[in-house]
Amino acid sequence: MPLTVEVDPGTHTIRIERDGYFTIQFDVTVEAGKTYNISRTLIPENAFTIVSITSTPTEPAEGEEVTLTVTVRNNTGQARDCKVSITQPDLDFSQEVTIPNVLPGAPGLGTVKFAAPASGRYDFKVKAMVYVEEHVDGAGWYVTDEKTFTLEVSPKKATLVITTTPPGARIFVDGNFVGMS
Amino acid sequence: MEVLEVEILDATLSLRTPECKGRHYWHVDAKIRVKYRVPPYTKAFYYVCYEVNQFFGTVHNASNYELDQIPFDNLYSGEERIEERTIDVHFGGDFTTVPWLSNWSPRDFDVHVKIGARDGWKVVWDEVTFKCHYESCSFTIKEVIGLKASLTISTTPTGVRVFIDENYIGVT
Repeated sequence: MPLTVEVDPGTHTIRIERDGYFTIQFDVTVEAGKTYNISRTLIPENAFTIVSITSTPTEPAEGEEVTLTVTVRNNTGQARDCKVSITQPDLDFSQEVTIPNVLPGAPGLGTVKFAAPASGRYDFKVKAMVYVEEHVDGAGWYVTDEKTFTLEVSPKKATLVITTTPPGARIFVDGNFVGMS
Repeated sequence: MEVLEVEILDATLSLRTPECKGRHYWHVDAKIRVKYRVPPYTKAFYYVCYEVNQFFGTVHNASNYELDQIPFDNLYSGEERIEERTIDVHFGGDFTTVPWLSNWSPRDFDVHVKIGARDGWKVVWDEVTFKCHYESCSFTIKEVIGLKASLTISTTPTGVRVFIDENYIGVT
């Protein structure tokens, strides 16, 4: 329901807030005797949620190129840009990718590529963000969801080429059958 | 019945001295909002009043002039009601006998217009001031002080708290 109020001429600061939505604030300048209609659509605090995070390959080896794919869902009811940030402090790793114009209800995909670090287990912090122009703390990207993704990196592998005479021999490595020559 | 608030939403003052021949007229057109409380089992009505204070000295001072009676309805309800109406009001007169006008000298002057509503003796007023200038048989309104602006705020979704200049106003 619209809210009507009489105010003195001049500039006024309007703040609009509701639980579960980002609080917005903006200034309006009004002249005496005139009527002003102001309409705003609030952005929910869960504007974008992270649906999934995957890596290709699933368990990369050291130095191998890794593609991280983050899938987000738009809960705002309007097409919006989503920014995804991926950080790993131990590796001093930080990358951002913007997924433009994510439609409501449709998945939005953001990918980043990097070389797998030394073997080990790494927790990456993944954040989904939305741009709020009239946010009470100023225009900017605000976090709407945050998840941790663990990447297992295996040691770099060596390649063994095995040739037998005659061919057709069964080959086992560390007791595991790996094929025929 | 109790008048709670009166707000002048818009007001214009017209000043005329046709052909500069001795008769001079003033006229006010205004839009006002009146908020009032109607106790249970009573009828809503109020009177609109105006007062033009110090208009050209002491010539026009139409205090508590009864401009109109507004019978709103004949509903007799057991519930107390708070209602709000916006109405147009018009009034005016002449200021032919203003002493200083007879020498036709340029000058600045203020016209204070008060408009109020009452349902008994108590009147709730609002006031605007027109800053005017007279010169060479013509009047100019330079500024209107006291008029407010109307802000209508809609939100999606509704149910949103609104603050103006840190003051809570209400919920959409």
